[in-house]
Order: sequence, then C-alpha cells, then structure tokens
Amino acid sequence: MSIRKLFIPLLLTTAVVGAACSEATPSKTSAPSTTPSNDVATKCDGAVSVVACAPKGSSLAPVMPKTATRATGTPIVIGTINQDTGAAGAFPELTVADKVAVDFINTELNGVDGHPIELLTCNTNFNADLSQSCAQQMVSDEVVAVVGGIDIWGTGIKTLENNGIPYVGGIPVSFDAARSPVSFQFSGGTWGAVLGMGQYAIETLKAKKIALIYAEFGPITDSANLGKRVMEQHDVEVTLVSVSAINGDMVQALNTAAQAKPDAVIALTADSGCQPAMQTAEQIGFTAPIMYTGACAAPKILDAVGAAAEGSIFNLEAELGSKNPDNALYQEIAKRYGPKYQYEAQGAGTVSFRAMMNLYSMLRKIGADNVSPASILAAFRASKDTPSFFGHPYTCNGRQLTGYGAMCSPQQTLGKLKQGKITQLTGWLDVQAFAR
Amino acid sequence: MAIGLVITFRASNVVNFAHAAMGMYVAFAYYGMRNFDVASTERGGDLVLPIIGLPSRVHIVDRPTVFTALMISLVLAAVLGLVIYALVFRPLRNAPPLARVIASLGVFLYLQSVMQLRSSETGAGSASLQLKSLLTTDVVRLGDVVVPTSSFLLAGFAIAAAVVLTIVYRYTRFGLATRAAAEHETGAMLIGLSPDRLGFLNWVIATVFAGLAVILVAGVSGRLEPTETSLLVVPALAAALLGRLDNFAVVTVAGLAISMAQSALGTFQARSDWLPDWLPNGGLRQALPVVVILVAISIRGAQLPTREALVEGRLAQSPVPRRPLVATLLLVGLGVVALFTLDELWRLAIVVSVIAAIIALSSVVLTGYVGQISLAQYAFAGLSAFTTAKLALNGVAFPWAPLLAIVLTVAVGVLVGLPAVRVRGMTLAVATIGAAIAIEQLVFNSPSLNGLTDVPRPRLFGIDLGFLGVGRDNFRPEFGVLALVALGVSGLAVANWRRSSTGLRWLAVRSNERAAAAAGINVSATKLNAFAVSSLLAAIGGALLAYELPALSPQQFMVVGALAVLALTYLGGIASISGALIAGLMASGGILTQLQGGATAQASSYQFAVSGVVLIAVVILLPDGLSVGARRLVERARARA
Repeated sequence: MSIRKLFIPLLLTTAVVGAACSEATPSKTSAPSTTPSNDVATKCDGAVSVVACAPKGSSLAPVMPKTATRATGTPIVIGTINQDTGAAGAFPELTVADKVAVDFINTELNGVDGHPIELLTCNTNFNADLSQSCAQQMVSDEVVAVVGGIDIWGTGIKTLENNGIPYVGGIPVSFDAARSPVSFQFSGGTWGAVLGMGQYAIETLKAKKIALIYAEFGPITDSANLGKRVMEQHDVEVTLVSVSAINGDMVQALNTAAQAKPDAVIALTADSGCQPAMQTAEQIGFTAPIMYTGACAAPKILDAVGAAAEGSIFNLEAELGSKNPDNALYQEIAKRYGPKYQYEAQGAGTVSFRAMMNLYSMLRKIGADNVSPASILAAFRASKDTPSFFGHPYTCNGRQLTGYGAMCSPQQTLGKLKQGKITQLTGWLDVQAFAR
Repeated sequence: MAIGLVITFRASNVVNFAHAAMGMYVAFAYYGMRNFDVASTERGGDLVLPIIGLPSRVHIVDRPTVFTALMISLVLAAVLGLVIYALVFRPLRNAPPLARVIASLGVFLYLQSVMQLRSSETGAGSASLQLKSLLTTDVVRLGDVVVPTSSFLLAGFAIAAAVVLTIVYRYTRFGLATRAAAEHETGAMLIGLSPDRLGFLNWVIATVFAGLAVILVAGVSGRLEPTETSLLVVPALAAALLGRLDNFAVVTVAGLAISMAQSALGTFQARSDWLPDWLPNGGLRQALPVVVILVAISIRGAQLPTREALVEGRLAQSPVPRRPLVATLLLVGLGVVALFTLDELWRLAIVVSVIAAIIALSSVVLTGYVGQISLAQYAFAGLSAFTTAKLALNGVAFPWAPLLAIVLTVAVGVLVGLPAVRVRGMTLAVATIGAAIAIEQLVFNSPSLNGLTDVPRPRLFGIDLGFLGVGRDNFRPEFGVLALVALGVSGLAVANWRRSSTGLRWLAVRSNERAAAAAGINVSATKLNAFAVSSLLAAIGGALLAYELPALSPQQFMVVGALAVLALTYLGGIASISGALIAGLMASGGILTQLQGGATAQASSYQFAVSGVVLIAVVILLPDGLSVGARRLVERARARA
C-alpha cells in the first residue's frame, strides 16, 4: 500500500463530512454564567476615574483621595517574583495583576504620598536557582518589599530573609513562604483550605467519615497530613487517598474514596485535576458533598465541566457579592487598567492584586518618608485585624496558624455552585480555632 | 500508546520518547476545535498550530461535529508523523541509538513547550478545555467497585488494534515488507522495497494511533496537560518493553495489566494500615510497575548482544584530554579569580554552571565513554542531595554527611547498573528512565523527606564554606571555590581514567561488546565500574546542591530534568570533558543565562521550544557536539595556516 492510497480516502472522507460537519446553533443563548456574583453597583458608567465612583465601604477607602491624582515624585521600588514562564506551568497573570494594581495606584491614588511605585519583576522560569537569583536581584536593587506570586521552589525567600526584606502575599506554595519570619501571607494556601473544608464538613455537615484526596507534592502532602491529624482529633475517621502529582488518576482516586463511604470528600488538587474529579463524581453517581480548592472555581473550568460541576463546594477566602465592596472596586479597576495587559479579572491574579493593595495600604500608613524594609516588617508584625483587600482582616503575629507563622489570615469562606453560579455557603471560618 | 511505540521501533529502530507528546498535540487540536458549548452560539473550530512564527490558531470550520473534528485531527496526526519522520528521523536512519534518543527528546521538548504556551494563552490553561468523552459515560458496578464502561471500551479498542496490527504485520505485503526492511535494510532495497516509503507510512500509522489514544484517554480521564500527557510515554514504554518492542499482543496485555495492577494497589493502600508512613502511596503506584519491569528486562536480557546486533553508525568522537593538569589548574584558577572579582549574581551563575558540569560529567563517562544511555543521572544527584540534607539536619557534620550520601548513591548506582549488564541501547535508556521515576516517586516524595530546609552550613577546619550571605556578600565565593575544586578533581580524575587502561576498556565496550569480550575484557565488570564512577560524579554534584539550595523539593529532580541533562551534555559533546563544561555553561540559571541578562531579563516564551529545535539540528548536523565541532574548526584553521 502506498502513502497516496492511505491518504486519499482520509482526505475524501474529511471533505465529504465537511459539508455537514457543524453542530447546529441554538436559537438563543443559554450558556450558564459561573462568574462569582458581583452584585455591588459601582455607578462607574461615565465616571472619569475609579476613585470618582469607588464604593465607600472598601478597605482602600482610608487611602483613597477625593479625586484621581497622578504620582510624580521619586519612585519607591517594589519587586515581584513569579513563575511567568516554565516547562511545567506558567502563571503570568500574577505579575500582570501587580502591574494593573501599580498602574491604578500611580495614576489615581497619588502613589505613596506622591511617590509612584516602580515595579521590578522577576521570572523564576520554574528554576530553583533563578528563584535565588531573583531574590538577590531584589536585594541588589534595594527594593523595599517583594510581592509574592507563584514560586514553586521558594528558594529565594531565604535570601530575602537574610537581608530583612519583606515577602508579601502571593500564593504560598512553598514551606518557606508559609513559615519564613519575613513572609506575610493573606491566603491560607492548601493548609488553610483543608482546615476550612474539614471544619465545614464536621460542624455543618456533621460528617463522621471524610475522604481526603491529595496530590503528592511537598506542601500539599503536608497540608493533607495536617488536615487528617486535626480532623481525627475531632473524632472523625479520615481516609487519605493520594494521587501522583503527575498524571494522577482521579477516576481511581474518587473510586477509592467512594469505597470508604465518606460523608464528605476533600479534594486538594491542582487545576488540572478539577475536571476529572467532577466528571468522575457525576459518572459514578457519587452523592456526598465534594469540596475543591478555589483553583477549581475558575469560570473557564466550570464552563468546561458544565452540569457535572453543579453542587461542588470551593474554598474562596473572600466574601462575594454585596457583602464585600472590594469586589466591585476590584472589578472596576480590572476593567479600566486590565485591557492594556489583557488581564482577566477572574483567576489567580486576584491573590497578587490583594497582596499589592495590602502592601500599598501599609506603605501609606508608614508614610513615604519612613518607608524601608525594616519599617514594613515592623508594621506588618504589629498588624492586628488590619483590613485586607477582598479578604479577611489580617494579624501577622506568627500565631494565626500554628506551625505556619507566615499565615496572617488563614481564615476561609466556602462557596457552592448552584445553578451555574457560585454562592456564599459560609461566613468566615476560624481555622486556627478548629485546629487547636 | 505502546502499540504506536512498537510500530515506530519496528519501522525505524527508534524508541520515540516524543510519542505521547505527538499524541498530546493531536488531542489538543481535537479538543481545541470542539471547545464550544453546543447550547451556545460559540463557533469553536479553531485549529491550534504548533509552529513558532505562525499564528497560534486558525479557524477551520464553525462548530465542528465530533466526526469532523476527529477526522481533521487524525489527518493532522498523519501529517505530523510525516513531517517529523522526514525532518528528524529519516536523516538519522544510520545514526547511533543515542542520536535518535536525543532527537526524540528534542521533539518532546519542542511540542511540550509550544503546547504549554498555546494552552496558557486561553487564560485558565489546559484545565479549561472541554474534555467530553467520545465514549459512553455509563458505569458498571462490580460489588462495591464502580468501573466506568469506557474503561472496558478502551481495553477493547486496544485489544482490537493489537489483533488487527498483528494480522497486518504478519500476513499483508505491507507488514512483511516493513519487517524485512527493519531486519535488513539493504536486502530489502535489493528486492525492490523502499525503506523510506515504509518508514513514512509506519510513522503515519504510529502518530495516528498516538493521537487517537490520547484523544480517547483524555476524554475518559478528563486530563490533558502538555507536560503530564507527554510523560504518558513512560508507562507506555514499560508495556512496550515487556513485549520486546515487537509483539503487539504481549504489549497490549502488559499495558492493561500495568493499569489494573496500579488500580488494585491503590484500593489496597486505602484499605490497609500496614504500609509505613514514610512510603508515598501515589508514588508507590507509579513506581511499582517500573520496578517490576526493571527486574523483568534484567532477567530477559542477554549478557552479550547477539552476533547480528550490529554496531550502528559512527560513534561520537572521544578526544584524549591533552595536558589535563594544566587545563584543570587554568580553569579552576580562572574560576577562583572570577568568583572573587565578579558580583553576587555572577557568583551564583558560576556555581550553578559548575555543579551542572559535574553532573554532566557523569553522563560523559557512562554514555559518552561506555555507550550506556542513562537517564537516571539526575535522579542520582537528587538522591545524594536529599541524603546529604537529611544527614546534615540530623547532626552529621560536613564532610561526613556528603561522603556518606555519596557512598549510598554509588551503591544505588551500581544496583541500577545491574540491568545494564544484560540490556543496552534503547532498552537501557528506558530502564534507566524507569529507575529515575522509581527513585523520584518512592524516595523524593517520601513524607519523611518533605520540607528539607535550612541545612547547616558546611565548615572545614574552621572555615565557613556556606553559600548564603548577606547583601552583596550573598552567594559567597568560599562555596564557589569548594564547587570549583570538586569540578577540578572530578575532571582530572575523568581525564586520567580516559587515558588509562580503564578508559580504553570503556571505549572498547562502547565500540563492540562481543569484540571486547573476545579481547579478554570483562564486559559486565567494566559496565558496573562505569556506573559506579558516573553515579559518584552525579552524587558529588548532588551533595553540592544540598548546600547550594536553601530548600529541596522532589520536583527539582523530575525526570524532565534528567532529559535536559542528557540533552545539554549531548549538545556540548557527549564523549568529551569539554562537552560537560559546555553543558554546565548552558544550564538554566548558569553562565549563559547570566550573559543573557539573568532572571530579570525578559525571558523568551519560546526559549524551551527553540532549545528543542537546536537539539535536533545539532544531532543531525554536529553529531559529536559543539566542543568537538569547535575543535575541528580550530584544527582546520591551523592546517590552513
């Protein structure tokens, strides 16, 4: 048989079906919306600036000028370290979120007392040595603080620690990010997530048996073990089901979890594990509530999964809708300043944005003349119930989550997907009290 | 997937490490076209293109049906197979197995990184693709176990494919011709067969199989991610190896048996309490089949290759090191001067390059000098790093912690080398990648090694050799000197081995094992000796990493890193010490990175993809690597003068 003989039938087949090759278009749009509720009207249509229409209850209200003012003084340099590119995942949206925040601060909020923020970005490129290199670059360029992104290795944090430079926010995915004395985190990471989900399962769902599925990756394994230990202290039977971080078989994991007949399932998985878990749960008729990490609540993932995602529970670390005016403010900032960077408001960038805004509020509190790494460290360490942008008020006294001193606000909220929309399921859950 | 591997191996004697990556691209094309909600007005139908410089997507047809999208994808798979064979593997038909392994790594790297970029362009990445299964989503209940019907259907497809292919390759003219050409290319040409045409056709079939397999598997598992999916080649290789890359039926049964064993083990683990806490459960499932296969191929292999197993192509040139002591002193001296005069970011880059060069030296010895293709060197380095860190954190002082770690790593290296006594070439490459995965999954993922940070600073005779400092004194030159001395001693030792009778025995085994044995060389002992030396070198590099990195993580030693080490060493020159040095220069985060502006420079999104293309080009155009190529240029210039 020749190659030509093989190809001609294939091409012909393709050409023939090409004439009738399309799905029919429905007469009206019925795509479900899975975007988190955004019920707060900002009255921004036609407003000249975000400042002109910002809601009064925002955590940024104390630092918001009456009219938009552009900063023109000498810059204050802040760094950001993130995995913008890499062989095993790229998260440029976190750096972009910082840029959007800085543009807003410099254009409308008069920077820090007239001094614009200059952002020095650095890409770890999924390389532990480049993480160190980034941190040292920040030291050499004398930044006053570094805003975290996603740094799988976290190897640069030790350099920042040795030089007394604060590492603020981001997504804590390394042990140093969760424990270093110069790290201040406004997210509980997977540690907070598993405790929040466990608390909800035990206290609200009255679960007696819980299955905990987790991907075998250092900090996630540690979170799973922490969750198991704490939940067992509450007299709950916990079945740990591990999946390999690479090509972990979610079908088998959920099957194994189902055999333990749990009252609830906690799934600590990266975003690539969300879709298989949700689809499998529907496929095998699994009815117990399943709780996923917030990464699974990305609108595009929920849209891709469709109806199988209905009823899923997620940790959110924020209060949605009318309860939080920061939500509306964030959406408006993203709408005005995001297009320059093709920034999508719903995604992991939210966490970086929060970190930058919390750092900014702290810089304003300190005052431009007194800003230094040492003053920022002192200010964060002295914080107590300080308002956090689109998050729980934070207290960075190193005692908010035992064993993970960098967690300033590990508190969690949970949301549930109902009729294609995420709705608030709980108020703030005090995970430290639960873990105690 | 394993069936496709067998087809390419039969047709062109290539174990295609990029097989799953090729399938991954085809699946992305399919699901990309079908990525629209049938209940909405979205048009879908965009075909993702994997070529740098072209648009990332082109619109083919509005709202394609499953059949249309599948047909387009499979035609695309056929074209992909044709192009890759024509551009990469056909020119390497007579190249040594190592060249073909490296070329397939180049294709792997290119497709994986381009698709990583393409999928991240959609915001939520590949996780947001609608992976609707082509198969039924019904389930079958077997007691309290629920099994998706699609699992049975997938198994049925695999069995049917194996039966059809067995018949085709055993009884049709095309099948017989393929077998004839594979066994004796010249003979096949003499009877009027065209090995080229057969090669093309087989690559088309294999790529279509890969594409179809990944489309089906992604639909059932709900996972399609460039790196993860590309690594599906490992279990497929395991199954293919059990069938000796020849027997479709055995390969299919082995593939199904491996999956079933992993599932059964998972269920068993969740129900039993006797497994120790330090054993990573998920890792055990991943590693166990690989370990079984390592044992199986060790038993099934032969101590010497058969008479008809010809030495293929010319081997990489292995120049005798000239004046190694002078060269070493010059290099170390230059390094020391650089460490004490350049800034801290340069010091970090130099140390990264030095450590990478030591690990690359281990590949030079084992793969370059002895011809044993090993993909476990990075895992050996990781083993040494984790052991050093664990011992140091438990109070074992420097230098005893790294010395003990090195001894342990050498022991493991020899153990892994045992299969090398019986297997060689492509099979050994697969066996060592299996060993690397076993070490990664069973050891590095162990909860007892989780979160190793703050390793005590190394001190010798009261001198602080720690790496981290404060301010501009960070990345202290004292540690750099330690690393440079380690590189100098390692390089000098390798140079002396190369010049000694040991080196001659290594080269003899590389050239022809049967001839070496006839000349009185103990081939098994020579190979094990080389495994010991190479694991020693990798262990030295690993021990340095334990002190250089503030925190150790299993992902730092992933199998992808092992592929990169071998690829970089090949680029530099797999059979020369200067090749290892060039590999060190090119290591990510090393001197070349710093020359390009360091971490804050705008990294090119296409950096990894371009590396893949460069790798393929070097394999085809400069098979001896950059160092030997440069040496030739110098010699030619001298001759002209």
